[in-house]
Amino acid sequence: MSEEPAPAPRPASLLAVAAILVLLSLFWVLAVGVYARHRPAAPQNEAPENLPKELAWKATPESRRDYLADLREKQMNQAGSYGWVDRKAGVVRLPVERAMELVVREYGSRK
Amino acid sequence: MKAEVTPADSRSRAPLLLLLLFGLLWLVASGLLGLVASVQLHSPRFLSDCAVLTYGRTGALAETAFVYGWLANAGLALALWILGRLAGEPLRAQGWALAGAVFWNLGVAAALFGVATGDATGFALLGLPGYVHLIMLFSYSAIAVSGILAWSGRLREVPYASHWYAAAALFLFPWILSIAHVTLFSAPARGVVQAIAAGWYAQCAWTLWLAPLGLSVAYYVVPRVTGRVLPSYEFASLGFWCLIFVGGLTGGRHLLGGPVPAWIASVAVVSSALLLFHTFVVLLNLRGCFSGGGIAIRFISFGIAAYIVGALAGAATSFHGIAAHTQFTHFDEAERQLALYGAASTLLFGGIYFALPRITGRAWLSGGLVRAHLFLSVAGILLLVGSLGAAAVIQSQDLSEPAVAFAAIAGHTRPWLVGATAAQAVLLLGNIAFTVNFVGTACTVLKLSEPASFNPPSAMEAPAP
Repeated sequence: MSEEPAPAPRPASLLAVAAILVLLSLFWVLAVGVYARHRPAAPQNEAPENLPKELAWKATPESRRDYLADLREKQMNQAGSYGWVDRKAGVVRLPVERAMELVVREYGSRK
Repeated sequence: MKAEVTPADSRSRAPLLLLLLFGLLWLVASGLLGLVASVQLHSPRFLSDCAVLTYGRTGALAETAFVYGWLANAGLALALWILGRLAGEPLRAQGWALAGAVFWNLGVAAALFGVATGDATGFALLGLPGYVHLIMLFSYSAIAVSGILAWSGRLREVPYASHWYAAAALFLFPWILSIAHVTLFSAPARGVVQAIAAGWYAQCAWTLWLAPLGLSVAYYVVPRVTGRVLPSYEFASLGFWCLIFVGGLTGGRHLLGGPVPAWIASVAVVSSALLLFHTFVVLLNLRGCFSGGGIAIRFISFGIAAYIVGALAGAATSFHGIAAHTQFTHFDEAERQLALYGAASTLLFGGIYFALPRITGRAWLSGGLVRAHLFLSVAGILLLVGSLGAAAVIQSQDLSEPAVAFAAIAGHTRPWLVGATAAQAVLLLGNIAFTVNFVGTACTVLKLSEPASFNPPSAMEAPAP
């Protein structure tokens, strides 16, 4: 059986190929190039000098570590020392160990 | 005698065979990795001293190789083949498709290397590390050039359903990957929004990319094998647009009960129910496949059945009452395997069994390997989904009993997880048989120099068991 040779593929114009590639990558360009670039950065991705004072501690790993150390020191002091919480109302702060003793004594004295 | 090998087949061989060959190699690789991950699920000490092959990595490696290696390569090859055939001429811009295929698979290899060395993302169906996304996007676009040129040069002004699904998959994947990349990698959303974005991507990858690739094959092959016009074809466009508009909204059903706004879960539940219309149309159009013969139609009928069962299960488990029993169990994995393996993969198997003889002009090399592949695939998928489903039922019952410890739950589900491992081994054997048969058949084209057209259609079909 004789057979005609199959025709060669028609050439595709470079313009058509470029248009298709642009079309398919348009989402990427819009999403990454436009949306992501103009989206407000998270504090941890922002330079410290560009952040407001109350968020400046979030800027770098060092500043976050320092902030956490300060916070823990403050909390440890509060949990282990005497002080006024509200002098007018007569509310005081006392060490946790002492507070536990008082609670145990109070509950132990109940019948 | 009508030629079964058209110019669109014989002059488009190079990119199609290359994509299919890459796909099959990744299929075998994913099978091996899936087998290791499955063993580790019930025997955690297996290869636990090798960091590269610990469970967290083997699971992600197997999934990535399967989805982006096997399903993507085979799905793209068949989409290009279908679009080329419907255009009635050889694929244009084949150099772009060839280059795209090479770079896509380099991207997959780089992604697997990244996952193996600890860069897995932890997102379902998006295990690809962020740094390979750009190469994946551009290589996918390069492959799609041939398909889109064929689509725009189609013979018929009003496209067929197989056109719609193939073109939709080509256009939509770059979009969903771009959105996922921005929201999860380049400018990651914070907190719970990240889980919502990841759920959206996983659902879109299935409903807007992998499912259309598989359905395109079914809509193309079924009328040609059965020799009948698809029944109720006028509904096909409604089913297609239902999938496109509603499919992406169902991602929130996996977040039921989670710390997300309630409307997200509610929209997902409603969308899952609406998507049943699409499923119903697919069944209505393709019901002829259940009465057809031949190996391609056997695979496609199994794939369509799995697709419908998966859609019904997905809709049912999106309701709070049922989700309360299926969430956080092996049911999610069973559902995923039913969709990816049972539906998408078997539809592509059917497409390849139909397409390869036409692309090469040669019948399949071994009928025995074809029958072995069909038997092992069907048995493996049923065993895999059945085992995981049974494990999910036991897990669900045990989780609702506060007195049952987690270690005891693992012990109760172990026999079924061993069954799932056996299923993975069966599937791997079947896929090795398929790959050997494919390579042998494709090699005959390289050995024989004479044109291979004008084989009778009956010689193109592998014998049905």
